[in-house]
Amino acid sequence: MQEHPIVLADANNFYASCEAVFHPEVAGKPLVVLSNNDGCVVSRSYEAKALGIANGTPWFTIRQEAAYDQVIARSSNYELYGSLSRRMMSIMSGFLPGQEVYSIDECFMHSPWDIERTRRIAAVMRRAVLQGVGIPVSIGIAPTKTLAKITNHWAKRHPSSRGITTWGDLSRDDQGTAVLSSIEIDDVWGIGRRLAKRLRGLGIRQAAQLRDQDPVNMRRRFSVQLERTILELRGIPCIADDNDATGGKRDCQILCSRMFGTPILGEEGLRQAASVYAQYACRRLQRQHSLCTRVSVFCASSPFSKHDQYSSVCGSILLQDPSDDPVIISAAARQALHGRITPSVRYVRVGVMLTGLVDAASYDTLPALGARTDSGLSEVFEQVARRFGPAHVGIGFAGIRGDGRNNGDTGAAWAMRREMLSSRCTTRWDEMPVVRAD
Amino acid sequence: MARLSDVISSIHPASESPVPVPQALEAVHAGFPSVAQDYFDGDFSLDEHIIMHPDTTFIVTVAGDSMQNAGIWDGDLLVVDRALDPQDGDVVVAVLDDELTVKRLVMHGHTPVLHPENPAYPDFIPSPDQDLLIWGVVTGNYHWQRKTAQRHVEQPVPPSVTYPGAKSSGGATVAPKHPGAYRHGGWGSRHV
Repeated sequence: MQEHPIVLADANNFYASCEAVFHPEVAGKPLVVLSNNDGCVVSRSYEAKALGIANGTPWFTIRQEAAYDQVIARSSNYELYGSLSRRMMSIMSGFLPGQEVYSIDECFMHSPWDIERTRRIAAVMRRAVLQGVGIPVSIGIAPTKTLAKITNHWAKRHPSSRGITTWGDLSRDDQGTAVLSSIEIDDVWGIGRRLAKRLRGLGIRQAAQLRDQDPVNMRRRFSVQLERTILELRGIPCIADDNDATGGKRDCQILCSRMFGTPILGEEGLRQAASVYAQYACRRLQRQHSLCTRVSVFCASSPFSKHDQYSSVCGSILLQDPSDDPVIISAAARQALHGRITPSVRYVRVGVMLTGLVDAASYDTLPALGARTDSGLSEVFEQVARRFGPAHVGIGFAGIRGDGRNNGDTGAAWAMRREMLSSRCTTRWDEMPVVRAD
Repeated sequence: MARLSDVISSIHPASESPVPVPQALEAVHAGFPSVAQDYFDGDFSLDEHIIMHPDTTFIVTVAGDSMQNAGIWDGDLLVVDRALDPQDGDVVVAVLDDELTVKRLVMHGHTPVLHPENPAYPDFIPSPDQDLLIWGVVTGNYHWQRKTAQRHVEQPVPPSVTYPGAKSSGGATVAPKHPGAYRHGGWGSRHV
């Protein structure tokens, strides 16, 4: 029996649950949270799931029906979700060691205790998060991460588990064959859509069948990752902690891409957007202490548009020297689109990608050809943002600063649409929740 | 930070002196060194003092006068800790009619009662089949005494800005487009 189980804690309907924390009136009602620009459904309350609303549904296709069902829709309130996520993770880190924050709403932990003690601790931890921040989490306890994912999923869907399931609960009689036979290959952690298709071609459809493949053979045919997944399904831990996810993360490319609230016509608007996103990307570049050598910009029209055919363009600038200077990078981003824009196309998406990243500390070249590093401008921007709020200062012209709450953050007419944004209860003084005394 | 070139240039050429003596890169303060330096570790923080559990504490604001006999006034900030288990006599934030409301929790035997601290308002006694949902326990409140000191509310009208020599009349007066831009009363006036 495995004595040091892995614990996976994952919030239930995280975004939708966050919306209910400060707004009791939406608790117990069908509620959906929409992606950037109020595009697609990305999170649903249980009541919304019960209505049959699928994740990823474009909002405009169900809007009318949803209104009839009195579905409440909210724009993604990233400020609130980030704040509650940080609090939730911090609480849980006090219960078990080795926390690896895997995404905004889930983390792995390593228990030094046996299964039963781990289960008891997990129950207290779950209660502490529910009481402390009002977010329900489900917990899967298993010998490996892959099985922890499966048990967690089980705990979520079966209320009788009271939010906690161990692999032992599911595998008692048959080493888990029945459970693994009910899990489609796509739903196994680490199996992407393309890989699932190839596996199905070989007749491997359920997790149980994958588990029974010869791992060495599968490594030869596919990859070492797949071999690890097979071993993990057998209860042999072999997926190491992804330290990237916790702290020392270094992306090998940085992409900053958004949809616009309203389409942009013409080169100048696109160049403004590219410049702004280049500055966002640059901030991330500096945060991971890298320099970039290539700045690419792409823009695209809507694939759903009735007005014009889908079209996209892409341009790229190779920097003379690696740089993390926002002036250089945003200038390159503006330049990258030059002359490539079709004036009549209504563009709705712009993205800036920084590639060819090198480590700022170890980058080394001939003396006269040194890296062009930021001279301190970013630090000044950060200070201004801390004091006056975001979107008060930046490089280049970025459109007229909007007055509304939603575009006040980003600054321009083309900024992200967040029409159904709830209040940012924990990060904005002027959006603080109100309690009634009357 | 010292660059290598600075260090090299600060070393006297060998021809002038047999032993190269590096110059100090920093000025040396004459006089008694500040003893306080070793002791100063930053001012104390109000946050840290009043918030026991930062992960579970939220700040909310009060609307209404039903708690004024408890010293909680309209517009006050409340520090609410969700990690504390509510006890008899605590001021709590509870969910009533789908709204967050602040009341004092009083136990009548085994029945919890929500009691406003203002005789003009009635007690709320949940019916036997009604669950009383306590959102959090109020650990303290902050009441502004000088309303004009309060940030993020009505700010005085910003002064108009004069651009010298902008017009032939010897200086035009231009009202700022966004009053918000000046709400902190000018650069470097208060907060750093």
